[in-house]
Amino acid sequence: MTEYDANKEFFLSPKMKMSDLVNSNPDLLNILDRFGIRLGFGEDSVEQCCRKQDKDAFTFLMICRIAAYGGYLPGSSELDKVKVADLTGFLRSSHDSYQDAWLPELESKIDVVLSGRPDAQKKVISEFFVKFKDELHKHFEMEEKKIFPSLDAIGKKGKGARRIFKEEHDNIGEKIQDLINLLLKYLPYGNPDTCVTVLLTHLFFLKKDLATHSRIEDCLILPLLKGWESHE
Amino acid sequence: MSEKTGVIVISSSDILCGGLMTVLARTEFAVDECLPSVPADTDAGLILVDPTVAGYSGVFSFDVPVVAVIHAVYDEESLSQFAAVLNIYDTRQAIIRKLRKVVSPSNGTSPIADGSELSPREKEILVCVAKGMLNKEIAYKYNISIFTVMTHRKNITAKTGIKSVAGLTAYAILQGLIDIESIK
Repeated sequence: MTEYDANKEFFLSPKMKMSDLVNSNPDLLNILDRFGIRLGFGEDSVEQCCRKQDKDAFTFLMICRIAAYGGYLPGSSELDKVKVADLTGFLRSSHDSYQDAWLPELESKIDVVLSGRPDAQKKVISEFFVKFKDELHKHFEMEEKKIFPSLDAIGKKGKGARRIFKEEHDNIGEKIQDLINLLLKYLPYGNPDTCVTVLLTHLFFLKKDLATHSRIEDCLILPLLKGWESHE
Repeated sequence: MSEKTGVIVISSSDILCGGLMTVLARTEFAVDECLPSVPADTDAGLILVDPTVAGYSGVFSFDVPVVAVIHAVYDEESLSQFAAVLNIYDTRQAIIRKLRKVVSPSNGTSPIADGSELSPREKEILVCVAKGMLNKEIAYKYNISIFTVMTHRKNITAKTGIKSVAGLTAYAILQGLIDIESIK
């Protein structure tokens, strides 16, 4: 009874309805999708829904808590209960969703904003975006090739990669903010602002979503790798 | 204990106000009052504000350091305007340490005034950065110290909100400070 029960802290619990979880935290919708939980769950609780779809409810809720509450940091007893395959599956599918959906969408919105503008403006913004996209792609590739496999194999190596990993998360956040400021403050007035506003709205959302993604990785992967290394 | 720093807390949450009072009890910070909104005037030495309070940005009109007290996820960019950020999950020690840093006299950095344009020297440095020059090369070119170059770069970033070299290069081109053809 005296044992610390994470599920009682913070409002998300396995007994709550999955639909309530999303309605009270709409940002978590992306997490459901990337965790592989399909919609149409009716009145099922988080626990029931995860069981039916063969997903680990504990890991799912832990990710949701990190995403929903900035100050939540799982302790080591909770980390021990994480189902690593579900976690890395979630992270891989998050990467896919950025590369297959978010970035192409962003690119097409940038094209609309740049159409009919002077060549110099087109070149500057699109080159900046291409560099950002390459950087993100390389970062995802590094994680998928170096970090996730060492997590899956219950942590060996990955040691050197850890420092780079945190640094790269910071760089990615900086680049998005730079792009936002370039578009918001310094792209001269051209075509109607509506398309720039649509693009900026998309960018602000992506910035927030990528920051959450980085936070999930920082909160879970780093301590997990560390814990395993110290066991060896 | 010598002089205490008078603190006002601006939050509509009784829990947050009461919590801060308890945390800061028996320290050099004395919570003078807790207010649900930004007052017209204050003689406090430090303001702690909950950024969920409507119109909180009014606090920046006082010449007093302002610290955010956050209990949810906030955009990093909007938090950058505060002298420090306390999270409700911070330990008591961490809170006191952060507040001490804010009020210590060595903390002489003041926020950049609104609407400040880059100075002519900052523009020159920016062009060098955009061309890919290293800090030491820039220092040599203008006969200034590397430290001065770094200070200029810091100010450029503070004014424009752009941190990366790629972003600064794009900025320099958009502002017409440099020709796109001169970059590689």
